[in-house]
Amino acid sequence: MEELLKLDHVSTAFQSRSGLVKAVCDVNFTVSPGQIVGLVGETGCGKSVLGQSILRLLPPSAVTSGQILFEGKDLAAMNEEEIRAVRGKRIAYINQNPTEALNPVLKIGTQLIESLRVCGGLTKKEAKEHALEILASLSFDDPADIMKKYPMELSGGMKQRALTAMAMGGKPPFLIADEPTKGLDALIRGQVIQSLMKFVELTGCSGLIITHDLKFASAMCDTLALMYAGEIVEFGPTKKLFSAPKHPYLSGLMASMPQNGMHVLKGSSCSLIDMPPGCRFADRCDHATEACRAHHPEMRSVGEDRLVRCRLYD
Amino acid sequence: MKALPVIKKTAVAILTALFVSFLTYGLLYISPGDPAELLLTEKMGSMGVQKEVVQRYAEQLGLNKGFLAMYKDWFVDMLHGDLGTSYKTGNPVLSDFLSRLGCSAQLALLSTSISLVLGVGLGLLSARKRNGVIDRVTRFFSAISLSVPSFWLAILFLWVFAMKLGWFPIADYQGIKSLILPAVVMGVTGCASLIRVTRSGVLDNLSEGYVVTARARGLNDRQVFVGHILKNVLLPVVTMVTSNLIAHVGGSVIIENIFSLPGVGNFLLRALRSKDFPVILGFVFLMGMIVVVLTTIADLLYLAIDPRVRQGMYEKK
Ligand SMILES: Nc1ncnc2c1ncn2[C@@H]1O[C@H](COP(=O)(O)OP(=O)(O)OP(=O)(O)O)[C@@H](O)[C@H]1O
Ligand SMILES: [Mg+2]
Repeated sequence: MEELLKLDHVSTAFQSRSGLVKAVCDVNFTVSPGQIVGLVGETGCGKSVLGQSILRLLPPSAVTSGQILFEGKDLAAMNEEEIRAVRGKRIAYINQNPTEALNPVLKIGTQLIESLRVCGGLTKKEAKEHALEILASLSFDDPADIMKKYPMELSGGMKQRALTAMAMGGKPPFLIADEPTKGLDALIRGQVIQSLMKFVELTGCSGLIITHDLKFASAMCDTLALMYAGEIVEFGPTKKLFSAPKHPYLSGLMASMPQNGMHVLKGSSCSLIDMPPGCRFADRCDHATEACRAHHPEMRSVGEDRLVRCRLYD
Repeated sequence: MKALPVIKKTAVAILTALFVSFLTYGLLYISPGDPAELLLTEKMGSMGVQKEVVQRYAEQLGLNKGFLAMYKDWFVDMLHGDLGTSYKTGNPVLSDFLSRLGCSAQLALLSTSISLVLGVGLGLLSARKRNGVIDRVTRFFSAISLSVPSFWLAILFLWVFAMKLGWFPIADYQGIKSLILPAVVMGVTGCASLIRVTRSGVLDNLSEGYVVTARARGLNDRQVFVGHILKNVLLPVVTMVTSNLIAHVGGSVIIENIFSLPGVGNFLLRALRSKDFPVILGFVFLMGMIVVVLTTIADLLYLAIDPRVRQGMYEKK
């Protein structure tokens, strides 16, 4: 199948006072049309940075290298105007943390109508009608009322849905959603998952869903990319990954899920400034050998369509 | 806008005004010097002021009653628009005030407009091109303007532009022409704080999530800037402009004096020197009222600009 998005040796680093923060290192994977890839990993491993690197939304202190091919064109090589034509219209992005993602001093309606007009060249009246339709499709009871509200007057789940509505405006073929379920209670999480499912169903888009909620990832994504300290360490179909985890980090994560007894992984991630020369997970791994600590492991193929970054599978 | 917060703000303003009037009167009452004696001394020379004469004179002026009774008289008169008559000029205090207000108000508006344009303009420019040439020059300029006292700049400007170059009148008041120089002095010294507030406001907002969202939706820099960031920066700017205006209400005294302007501040200064109590009392009180009105307007502006302020008022209720 033809690929929609192809990340080719993508790395992102930040200049900071204490040194170069290598937040994303040499990421390679592709997303085909209709495919939903879940990007999972613990906090600080670089998921959001990778997501924002794709649309070049990072502050100027970030330097991204590699190719980001979308519909055959390299997003990393585009000029400002070209990348702006992709943002919102071809690739929609839903920010982590809905509370901060909406402008606090503008009404929901203002922000929603603005997004629709940027994407579609609609008149104000058309945009307003369209906005009402989208809100209704995301099961808001009273769309007209929501349009008049300020972000602070909405609950977390409503804000998340409002953001989803804004992302849906341009009917984009690709969606990047960053932690759409973080910090929500069970009921609202259900609503949000439903709204995202609806988004995918209504627009037929592919996507990259960033989360550290494994349960959500398994429900929503057909492929998983597991990230650790800036690297992808395991990649493959969700079902296979869950039924037979390869990388010791994935096994550890699964053991820490509530239904598996919440055995918390020991230790913490290595610094992104001074990386160890060998495997980045070695210090927390029960199977680590001298070779693991000395040499950095490459991604290797294990069986059909599965990749893992671990010496155990040589 | 909802009515309740507006009513609340107005009530607070009225209470503050009452308190200001009481405080002004009280402070003047306990300040040293017997006005009756001072007045008589002035009229007749320092010789021959007898105790009984002073007392009779005080009675005539109504200065021998208790504090509260005197305050009440003054307050009731004030409500009728009567703030007493100047010992010195013999005019009603209120008309003396109003005849000088025009000059001071023009000066305050002119200088605040200058600092608003300079401050917000330079602040925005330097934030947009952070660490660029404009930013560096602006930061240098604002550091200087913060550390130079306004009276020093006033004297310098007066010397250069009025005395040496002769572009502006020195002593005789010629309306707006006489106001330009002092307004520039006040505008320049006042704009430093505005530059800082605007610049840091924009920079703080740049890293906010809503800016990332706005960019991710395909908005261009100008749309993000004008449509999103500006309104968020407006609140601290309004605060700063009001506090500038308020500072001018009192701070212009020195400038008016240096430039010999027929303003409120200069008149008050002369009244202070000659211990013209009704004028001092009336002017300080009226300036206090202006401050109360300005603060209330600023509060109402907050309500109009920022929904979070509105929300806050409901939550506290
Ligand atoms: N602007 C920045 N400057 C310097 N370092 C940054 C910057 N933004 C992110 N980082 C660093 O990059 C690393 C990855 O951050 P990122 O936000 O991608 O983590 P994450 O996987 O999304 O975590 P979370 O699950 O908490 O959202 C972190 O160590 C963070 O400190
Ligand atoms: Mg994140």
